[in-house]
Amino acid sequence: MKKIATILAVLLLVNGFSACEKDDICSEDTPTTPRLMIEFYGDNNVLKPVTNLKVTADGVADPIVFNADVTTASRYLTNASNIALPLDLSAEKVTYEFTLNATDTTGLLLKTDKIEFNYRRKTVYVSRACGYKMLFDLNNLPDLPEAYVLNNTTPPQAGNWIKRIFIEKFNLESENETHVKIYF
Amino acid sequence: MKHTLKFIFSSWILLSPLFLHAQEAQKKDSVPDKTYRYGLRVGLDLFKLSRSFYEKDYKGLEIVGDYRIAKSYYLAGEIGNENKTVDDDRLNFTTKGTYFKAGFNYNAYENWLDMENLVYIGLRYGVSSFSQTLNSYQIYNANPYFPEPAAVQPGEKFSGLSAQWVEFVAGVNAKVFNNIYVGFSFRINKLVSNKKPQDFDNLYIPGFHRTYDGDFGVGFNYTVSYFIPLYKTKTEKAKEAVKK
Repeated sequence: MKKIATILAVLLLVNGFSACEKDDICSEDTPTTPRLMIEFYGDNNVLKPVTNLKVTADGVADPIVFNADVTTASRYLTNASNIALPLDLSAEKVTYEFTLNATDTTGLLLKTDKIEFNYRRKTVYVSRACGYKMLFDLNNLPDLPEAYVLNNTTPPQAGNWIKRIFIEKFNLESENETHVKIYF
Repeated sequence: MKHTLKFIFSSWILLSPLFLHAQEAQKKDSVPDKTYRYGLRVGLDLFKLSRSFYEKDYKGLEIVGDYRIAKSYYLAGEIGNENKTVDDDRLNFTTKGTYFKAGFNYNAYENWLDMENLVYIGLRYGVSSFSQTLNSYQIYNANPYFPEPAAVQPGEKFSGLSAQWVEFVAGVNAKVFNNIYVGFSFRINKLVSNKKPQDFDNLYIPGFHRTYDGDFGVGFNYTVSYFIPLYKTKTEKAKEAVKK
């Protein structure tokens, strides 16, 4: 009898615990909607950090936040050699304005280039907690708009500071890969 | 969690023969003269029935039954139907379907005199056939920068889904008066097969309930049943007394 009571108690406990299972929270380790991962390269095909780069999407008031911990204007600036840009979930293209040396007040070093990215979207089921994620395919078919357009020039010309853009991977599946290489 | 459940399962399986043995040992020194009634017990799960009234996203009905085949063994089964809408943070879906479970119960309770109560453990094999409708979902985006798009409402229906599982049962069934029994049982289920829809998952399976970490589920029922007596037997001692 005692053993049966124990079993019942254990079952009751299991019943209680399972209500707060970890699968209620979407873990940060789970790959969900990826951002566009961009790397910056210098002349000799080596990674090169940018200086005070500010990136803003057309139609959005605020630039991308690169340093969420900082409250000053420098939260919008990056000096890294790689950045991650979100794509618009409700459109098939997004235009970003890349401003180099954004803190320059003299206007001599401040240079701006616009890149339009064209892509297709698909939704993929992840899990109960994460729901669905969206994956993107940068256009790579002849009858679709080019994957990228630099400063509205087709075929692309060198920009004000960007020399060349290279699509490393057309299908965006995770953030552990590089999708676009920008040479400057 | 999965490991905890595994541990519980395995310790349970390990322990059960021990305590079956213990019960058999007890039998020898308590042999009262009594008759055993055999028959069919049918009942209704009040837990599912009442939830159908107070939970607006749930409708369910379960009929339970068992048939005594030996002094301590009963063939047991459940048949039911559920219609549940789950509204999670990211997903809203409706599952509809019918299930059937069959197996046995072992009554570990040694009744005194003419008591006919059950404290049992049992095993079931469950089969469920159902459909799922994905009512709406929100795309998960860890980096909101653009305005978040409205929830997608595909209303897509995935039919012809099925699942099979093994269920461990532990419960109590007490005779309250005449042939009326009231009981409850707890269940732990483990999926054996699961036919999932394309680009979605079986997050709720009728009869199995919510799926945890892939292939585990838990259940509970509260039943009221009626016992239909079919025939009786007497204990050895009572039989001998009759012969003399």
